[in-house]
Amino acid sequence: MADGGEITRLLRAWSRGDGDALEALIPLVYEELRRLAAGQMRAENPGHTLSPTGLVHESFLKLVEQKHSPDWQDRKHFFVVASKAMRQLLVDHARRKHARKRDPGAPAEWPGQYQMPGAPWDVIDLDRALDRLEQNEPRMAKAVELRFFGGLNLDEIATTMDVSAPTISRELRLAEAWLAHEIRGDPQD
Amino acid sequence: MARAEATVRPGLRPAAGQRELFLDRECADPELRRQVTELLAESDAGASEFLQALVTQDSVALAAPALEDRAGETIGSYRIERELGRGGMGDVFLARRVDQEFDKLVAVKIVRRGPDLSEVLRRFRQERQILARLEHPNIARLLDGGSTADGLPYLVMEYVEGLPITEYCDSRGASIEDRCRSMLPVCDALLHAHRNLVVHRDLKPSNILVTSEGVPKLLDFGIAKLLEPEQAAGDQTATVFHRPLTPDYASPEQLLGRPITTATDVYLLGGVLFQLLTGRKPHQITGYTPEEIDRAVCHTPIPKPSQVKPEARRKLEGDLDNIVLRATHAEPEQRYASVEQMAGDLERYLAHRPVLARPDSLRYRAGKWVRRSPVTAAALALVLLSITAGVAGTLYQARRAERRFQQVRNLAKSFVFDVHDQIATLPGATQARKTIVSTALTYLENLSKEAGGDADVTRELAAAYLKIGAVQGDPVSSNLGDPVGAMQSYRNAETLLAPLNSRGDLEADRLLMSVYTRMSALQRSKADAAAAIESIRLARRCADQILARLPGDSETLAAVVDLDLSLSRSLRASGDPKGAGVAAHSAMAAAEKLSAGQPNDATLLAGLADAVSNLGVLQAQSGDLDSAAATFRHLVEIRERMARDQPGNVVYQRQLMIAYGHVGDVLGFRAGEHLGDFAGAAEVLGKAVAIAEWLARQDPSDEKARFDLASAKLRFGTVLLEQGHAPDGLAQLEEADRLNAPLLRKNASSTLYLANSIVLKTTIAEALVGLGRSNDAVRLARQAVADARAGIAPRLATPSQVLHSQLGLAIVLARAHRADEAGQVAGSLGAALAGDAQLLRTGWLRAYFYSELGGIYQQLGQSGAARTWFTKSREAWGRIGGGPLLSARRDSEIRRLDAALDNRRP
Repeated sequence: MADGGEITRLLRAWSRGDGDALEALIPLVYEELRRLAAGQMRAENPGHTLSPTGLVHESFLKLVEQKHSPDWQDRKHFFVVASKAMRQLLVDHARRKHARKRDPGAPAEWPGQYQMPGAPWDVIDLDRALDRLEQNEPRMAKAVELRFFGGLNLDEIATTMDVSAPTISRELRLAEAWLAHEIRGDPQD
Repeated sequence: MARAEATVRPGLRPAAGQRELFLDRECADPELRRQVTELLAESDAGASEFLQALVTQDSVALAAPALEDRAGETIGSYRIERELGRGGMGDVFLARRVDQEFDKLVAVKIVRRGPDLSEVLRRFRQERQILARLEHPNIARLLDGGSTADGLPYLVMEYVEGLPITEYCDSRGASIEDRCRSMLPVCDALLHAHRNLVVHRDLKPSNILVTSEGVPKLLDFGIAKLLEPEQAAGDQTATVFHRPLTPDYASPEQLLGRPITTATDVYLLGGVLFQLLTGRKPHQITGYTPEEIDRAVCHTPIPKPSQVKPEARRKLEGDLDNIVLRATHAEPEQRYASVEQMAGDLERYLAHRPVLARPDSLRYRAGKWVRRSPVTAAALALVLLSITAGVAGTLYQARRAERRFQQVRNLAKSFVFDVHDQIATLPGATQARKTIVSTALTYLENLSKEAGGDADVTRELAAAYLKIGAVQGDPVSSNLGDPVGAMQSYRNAETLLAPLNSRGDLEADRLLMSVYTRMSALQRSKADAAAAIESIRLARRCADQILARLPGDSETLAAVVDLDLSLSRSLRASGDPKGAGVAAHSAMAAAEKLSAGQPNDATLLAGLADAVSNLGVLQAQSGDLDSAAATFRHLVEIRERMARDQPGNVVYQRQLMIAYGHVGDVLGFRAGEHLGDFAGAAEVLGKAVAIAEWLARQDPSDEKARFDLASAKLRFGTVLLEQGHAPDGLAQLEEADRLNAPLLRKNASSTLYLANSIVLKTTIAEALVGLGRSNDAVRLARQAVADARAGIAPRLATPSQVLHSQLGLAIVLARAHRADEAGQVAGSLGAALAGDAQLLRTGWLRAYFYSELGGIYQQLGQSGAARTWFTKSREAWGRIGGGPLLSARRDSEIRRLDAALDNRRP
């Protein structure tokens, strides 16, 4: 498991402009998130609804806060990394799910939970659309990532990105509308 | 779209109010303006929720144990081979039975999340028989179920390899007629299930798989019901969003938490037909937010297939449109009355004959029904009656004999009770409930005629009558207020069972015992004590018959405890203390036997304590104080053990306090008969006070706890006075009065609080006069008499409180050396007692009053009067007999009186 000191060291290296540090960081956080997600699902905790927000915050506590009193810069950078890792984790998982879906003799689906069944799109569609947004509007894409995969609220996103909250709010609304449209397409299509 | 996007990006920057201006300036092109407006609208509503739903949906899926976790694991008799899929509620695995030679593949569903997993298990045990009996070539059978080593419920089902019916039809390029034809076996399977009173609740293409041989199989029958969360009455929204339903197909009543009937399956089937015909899911839902689902399911009618698929309009328009619309009507009672009717229409369509379904202009007011609340009971009854008709119809088919058992069982259990209970809380449902019951009765009567002595059928019929009787008039639960009908149902059950009785048919004997027990409850509620006692005796005879064959059978012993206890109470109330005592002993013996078998079972121990307590009260009331003391000490032992096992259990603590109180009363509390053992009484009453104080601290707002504490302190204080500890006794009594006073103020009409207040005043007055505070004492004692006369005398036939307070006043006056007043009060009290010896109900009370009056006159120096009362007291004591303790007390009283009489002899 990743060591808290190592994480903090990498976070600081990254904040000083060391791009390799980010490459090293994401897998560490990814692994921790995966472990936490699996841990939350053990039988002793059935019925528990897992949320990305909870996972990201928990991983922060586990990886950073435990060993070091983090300064806000560490915190800020950690959430940027964790949001990316969370996104990757969900997308990887959804891909595996797709692979299974193509399994011949695939079964009847379980009577699904309310919000889930039959939704024709999933996080992979969001990932692809987000990639496209990133090419033209990297700041918007980052805000979306922090919001939906990191679970940060508007003020936290604004602080993390050093942009005013009203600006972030406007950009998010636009980005959300654009993404939703990208994913669902035009109803008349 | 690219232009619109480009325009919109800067376009969101102006504040909302400036939008129109901005649009006017930027979007001269009307088409561009339309697209931009659309985008803007979308950015305001739903986009964020939509994205959030995508993330949440996959996060939930992520929250699953790793794939390889279960492979190779053995669950029950099945070894997991591989995962087949997973969903919101659990995972599905392919498994193989390990303990059989022939290879059988099954699908094992492990419920991972749900409302309450133990509840799922419980329901499964309840339903498994019904579900396992659903044998039909087009239904995948439920084979088994249980819980895994890690405590998760699992269900084992026939494994079906196939494609969802829609994909199957698409892959074969099926024509519209073929698609309709493919629905017919599905309808047949559903009809079979409905006749067995099982509703599917979650029909959708993925639950209707077609095998490579072209055989459709319905999966997951009744599973949705097992997984449905318990619903609190009136609470709809809280649970709707955790139901195992599929919003793309769901019916309005499912979303609204209304009763689910066969009409729900008709709706769902209509939705599947819609998708088969059009390739579209019946509800168009995009974001899966609660609001959107509500809008799509409850407020948007499923469109005509011909409108959705204009290229096939010629084929769809007319009959098929009408069939789909009829099946998916928002109002259940406007749909096909049964799946059979719907199948009939499909067949008629295929045969080019006219269909029953007609265009219905009303359906476009779909919102109307869902806003109306609640669904009318009469309409519901119609739906329900159509089920009964179906059941009755099958009865006369060839498979009759084999099916009947199940039919009756289902009727009584599922139909009358599930359905009845479901509508019982609806306002205005009484008429519908009565209709259900009378329909069921007609049906049962017909079956009775045909039973022909078949023991299985007879027992089931009797059980159904028993249950219907409870619905008609069970005094302890919600009933239809028809005690006469209830009694008739019980009598019918009795008549059916009588020929089977005492022939070694244990089930019949058990049923008959229940019949008589219910009868007695009904008779007791009508104050027909003699009939109630007779019914209990009959029930008791059945119990004896069972116990003769199964000695120690715990179920029967438990019934015996209850029967004998109620027999004992009934006999006591009807003036047969001897019979009551016999029954009380018998109840205690049965309870002891039962508890000895499972000494750690708290329920059995509590039952034993009840039986012991009942016996003790009976003994104390009949004046057998020796036995009562022993019985109550035994009660204390049991209650102490219960309280020790569960120290935080408030009820157990209170019961222990009451047990101490019983012992204390019998040993030495003056207000009743006692053995004169004040030291022993003080010991246990001290413990009672300690518990009462603890209980009052647990919940300072609990009135009962404060009343308990006041009563305990009254007893403890009085006994301390008897022992000569006047200051300590007074402290307890005054504390009791401080607790009681606010209770009385708040409940001025409470006889209980008033009686306590009067006794407290009198007793405190006696303590005060002993401490030399004569004026206060006399004032209080007079107040007590006045209160008793004003408050108690008008309310109670035998106002012993008045006599007690008068005696107390006379004692206080005499000790305060106010001879004239004392003589006056004693004189009037004595005159009253002499005038009516029955004013004091027991010999003990007479002996006590006479002796106290003698003491007063002795103190006043009137030796003649003292002599008279002492002599009367001695006579009264002479008539009191009992065990050694009571006899010893009597002898010591007589010795004391003799000494007093000797002293006063001239």
